[in-house]
Amino acid sequence: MREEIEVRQPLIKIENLTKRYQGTTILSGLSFHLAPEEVLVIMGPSGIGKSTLLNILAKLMPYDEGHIEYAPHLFHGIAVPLPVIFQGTETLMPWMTVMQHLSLVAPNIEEAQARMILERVALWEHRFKKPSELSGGMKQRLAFARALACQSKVILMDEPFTGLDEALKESLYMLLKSVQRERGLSIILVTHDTREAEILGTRVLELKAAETLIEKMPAAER
Amino acid sequence: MKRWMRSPLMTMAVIVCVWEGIALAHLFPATLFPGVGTVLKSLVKLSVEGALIGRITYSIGIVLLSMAMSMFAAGILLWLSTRYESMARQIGYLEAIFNPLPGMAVLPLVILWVGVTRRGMLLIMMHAMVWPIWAQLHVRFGALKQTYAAFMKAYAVTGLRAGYHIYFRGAVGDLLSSVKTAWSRGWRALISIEMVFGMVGSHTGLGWLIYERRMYMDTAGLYGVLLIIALIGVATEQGLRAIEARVCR
Repeated sequence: MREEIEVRQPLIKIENLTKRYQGTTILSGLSFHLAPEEVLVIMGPSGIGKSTLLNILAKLMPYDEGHIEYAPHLFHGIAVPLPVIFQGTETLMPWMTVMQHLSLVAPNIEEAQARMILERVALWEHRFKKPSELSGGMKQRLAFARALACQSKVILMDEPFTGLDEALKESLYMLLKSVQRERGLSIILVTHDTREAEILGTRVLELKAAETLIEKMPAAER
Repeated sequence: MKRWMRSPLMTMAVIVCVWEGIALAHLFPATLFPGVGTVLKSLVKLSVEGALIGRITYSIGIVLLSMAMSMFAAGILLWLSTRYESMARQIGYLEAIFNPLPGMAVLPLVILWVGVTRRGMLLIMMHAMVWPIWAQLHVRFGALKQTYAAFMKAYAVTGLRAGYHIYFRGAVGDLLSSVKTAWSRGWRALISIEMVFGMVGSHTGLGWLIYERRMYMDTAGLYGVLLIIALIGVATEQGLRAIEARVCR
């Protein structure tokens, strides 16, 4: 019963979040939550503060006012509870193989587990290759696999599909959706791409200005 | 281009041919510009007398020892400058002061402080070697930190894991390249110091051998020792290049 209540509670609850930088208010009084097993898309034009918001949620950046509450079970026995998939693939290490990328973020990962993840993202055959030997889509899948290796229930994504061609994006959307459903993942995805938001989001929040967050219904739900 | 054309032996062969051509043309007196054969004979003589091998070993040993000490010191400086921004500034100022100073410039000070000793020699060698290693790796570490800081924080890659997997492995190419620079600066410093210091204790190296050959007017022997220094330089360059190719593949 207690577990059930825990599972239904929001995984992340944000109340009146405010962030200032050098005298400018970037985010002001934002409140929303991340429910279990949902893909929450945060949309908005470039420079509005989407990435700042994601960095605050990932605990990479401090905030000035408000409150963020994380469900305690997110942190139980998990070394990396809030893995982030960053924009582009610059955070992949050119000197590491696919397999080494996984063991860097999850040092105790067993081979069977790594194999399961890499097979799911179609990279098992390429496990001894370095990023320079992978295509753009493969690199993005590696970034996704690295986040999956952390075994967290939440993944934060900062415009991960920017710069990829449409066909590649479509295949990655399908992969992301199916893995999210299989594993019951909760994802916060930051993007400025309306189509991406409509395909992937179970809930879409649009950041119009520092203090305005409008909830939109994705196309699938309409 | 064929492989043998890129070989350092090819460069050496060209130098030897040009050298022999000039010697045979008698453009300079034979005592000042001996032929290749005479230089090689002189080298054989030095080897048979036992002077050459011992001095090569001594010089290489000193360079290797000071390289190890310099790498250790550079490692500490790098840790400090990566960990604390204020330290990075201070060490940067020190580097700006000391890096351009040739070993010979600090030689009088070192002689005053520690005398004409092996310790003094190592101190000057370290001065010559530590700054190029620190300077190059500091720039690389800064770039790695900028690229991977958010990743390391988000994925809790810290401490030794970050030190080895991100900083060390990410900077191996720069480490080898800075070692190459440090090695050549170390050699330069060693040969100059030996020519000024002369004998330190009962041991001497290649620098002193050059000085000695000049004193005895053994020009062929002098060229021979210079040839040995060049060969050691080429062998080291080739060795480091091979390691670089293997590690940075």
